[in-house]
Amino acid sequence: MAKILGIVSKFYDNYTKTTLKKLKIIDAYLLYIMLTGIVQFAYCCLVGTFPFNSFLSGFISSVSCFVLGVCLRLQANPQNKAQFSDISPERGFADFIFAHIVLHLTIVNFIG
Amino acid sequence: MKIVFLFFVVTSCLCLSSSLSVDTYLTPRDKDQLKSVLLTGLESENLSDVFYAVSGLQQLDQQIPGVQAICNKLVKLVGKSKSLDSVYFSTSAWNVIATCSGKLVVDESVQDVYTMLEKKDIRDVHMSDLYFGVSILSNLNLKPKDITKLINIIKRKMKPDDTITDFGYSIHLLASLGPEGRFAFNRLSDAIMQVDQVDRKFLQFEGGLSVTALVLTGVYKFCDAVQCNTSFPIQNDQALMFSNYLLSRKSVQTPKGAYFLLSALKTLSNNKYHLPIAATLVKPMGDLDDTQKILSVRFTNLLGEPLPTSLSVGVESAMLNNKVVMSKNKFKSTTDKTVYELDFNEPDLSIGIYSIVISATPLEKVKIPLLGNTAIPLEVKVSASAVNIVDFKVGTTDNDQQTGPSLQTLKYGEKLPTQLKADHMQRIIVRFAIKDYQAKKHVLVHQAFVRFTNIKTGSQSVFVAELDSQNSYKLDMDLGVKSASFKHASGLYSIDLIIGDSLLKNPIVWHFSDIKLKFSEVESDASEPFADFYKPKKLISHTFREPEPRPPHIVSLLFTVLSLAPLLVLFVLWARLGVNIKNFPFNLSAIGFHLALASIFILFGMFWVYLDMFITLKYLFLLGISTFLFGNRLLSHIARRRNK
Repeated sequence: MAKILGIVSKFYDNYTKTTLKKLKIIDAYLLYIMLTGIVQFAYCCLVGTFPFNSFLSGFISSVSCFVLGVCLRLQANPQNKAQFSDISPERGFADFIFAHIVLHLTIVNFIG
Repeated sequence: MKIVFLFFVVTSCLCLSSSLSVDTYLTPRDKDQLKSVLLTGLESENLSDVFYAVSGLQQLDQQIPGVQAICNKLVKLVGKSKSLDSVYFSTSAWNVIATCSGKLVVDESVQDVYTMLEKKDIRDVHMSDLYFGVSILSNLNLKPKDITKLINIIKRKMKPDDTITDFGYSIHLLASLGPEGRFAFNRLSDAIMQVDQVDRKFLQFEGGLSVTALVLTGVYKFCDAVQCNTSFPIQNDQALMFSNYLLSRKSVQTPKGAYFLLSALKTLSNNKYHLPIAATLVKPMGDLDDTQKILSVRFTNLLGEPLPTSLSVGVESAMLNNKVVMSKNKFKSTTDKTVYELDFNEPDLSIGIYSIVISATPLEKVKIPLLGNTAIPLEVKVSASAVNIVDFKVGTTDNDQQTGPSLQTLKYGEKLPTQLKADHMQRIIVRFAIKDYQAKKHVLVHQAFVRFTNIKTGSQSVFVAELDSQNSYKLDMDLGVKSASFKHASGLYSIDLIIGDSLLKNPIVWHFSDIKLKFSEVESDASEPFADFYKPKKLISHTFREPEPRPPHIVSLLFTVLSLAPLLVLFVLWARLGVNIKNFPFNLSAIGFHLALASIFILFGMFWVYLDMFITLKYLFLLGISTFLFGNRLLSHIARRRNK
């Protein structure tokens, strides 16, 4: 147990020290999205799925925002510069915004 | 192709030579019908129809009503149309009537005919026109000026690939010119090869009744004129198949068809070469039973006239269910010259459908050979006039089978003196056997039913009595199981036994008992009247899915707060990470970009609440452009700053 705690604390220290501030901001955003999704899922399990399309659009919205966030994080991470050599972080952010606009148009249409 | 056809004809002649016969003739009823068809032709304003009607009625030996009116009509119509065919039809009809007073004005047409016959270039002269023209001349007792020249024209016009109709006209024309047309004899077999065979029973030329009859009568006339004698081109089997075809068309509905049918049948019945005969059962399928055991067969020519000789008619074979039952029996002649009778009584014949083959040979020497007089197949039905129902028992028993059934015996025709009673825990049992009139043999029937009729409502339920191994019938019915068939309607029912069969002349309906039935369920839909079945059904309206009950207000509120809570977490985390909002560039593009992005999300919110997709897309397009422009400027500005 102590070992696990040791590993976790070492991991946390490492994270706070080595990770860029920009990426930490994105990680916070991802955590926020994940928590929202979990709350929606809990509601669905505990209370019911009644307006099923509303539940679906909310939950899909969380999942896809999470996916888009992860994509942004990948493109913004300097360690992945080799793979995304021709994509600047600003270009990644613009794609992120564009994808969000399209995604939310669909979701609002579906939410009913 | 021709060789194949020839082979086919030869083989079909070989295998059919013993089994072709004509099984119908022109009955008085058919003649009446043809007469009424022809009479309608008299009313027609069409010259050809008038001719066909007049000529057909003459062939039927009928009086032509209103002769003078028809003559006037001919004069009037021929004045209107001078074409060769109308002149031909009018002069022919005039000649057939023979008693017309007045005069047909056709001199102009006669001149036309002479010009046509003198023409050098005959390419646009049709064979039918030649035939009509020459016939007009002969109708007027005139003659073509140069017969040799005419024959030459025909020789040049007749080609192997002529249509069969043209061929028909040309042989009619040649027949009228006498023996000089003999050159065309070889063409006859070629033309007859073009005939179509159907079902190995019918022969017809393409074009149907009128063409077939035209060619057929033409061949006989031609052979009379040029004396074909022994080498008559139509084989005996073919003559029989032509006869079958013509008689199959005896319900023809046009004057033209009726005329051609009559003339062809008359030619077939009245020629020097052969005489097809028709052997018909006087009653449909013989219609024999226990009391009527004499089979009558009628022998006539195709027009229903008696044959020129008396016949010796014998049975070649008779089969019932593929077993030979009699042979070599002779028919007796009767006072009616056409009818011959066979006594079916001699052996102990059972009921059924017999396949009999008979032959008729002429007793006197005849000049013209008979056709279709050997191996005539007949289907004869011997039915039972009545059957006897024996060992009839009816009763009820309990469902548990512990007590044996209490059955009452009845004789056929009687009725149970007391009512039966049964409830849904019981079974109804009916047992009987069917025997023939002498009560010797078991008889199996197609239909053996027990019918229950509700006396009050009249609704009926019918059940099938099944055959058991001893060839007797049995109905064993569990009322509880069959309750639905009675619509659970308790009450008084009458029970009938229904026996029917194609070999049973008089079907039986025997009301043998009444029964009081009692079913467990109440009389509910049973009283529903029969007419209700046809009334319009209740309207079905669509119902949307019922919404599920919503959770309590407080739960919804709690989860709304819960799902917003992570936003707070986000802000807290961002605050701890130290987001430098101070770095926000306060220029036009930055503010514009954020404003435009925010208004897009507000637009989405409005779309959710009340806008429709089209309006949303319109605004989104405008906002999207400004967002793109501002965003582009802002992000490139940031990128430039980063690179510095």
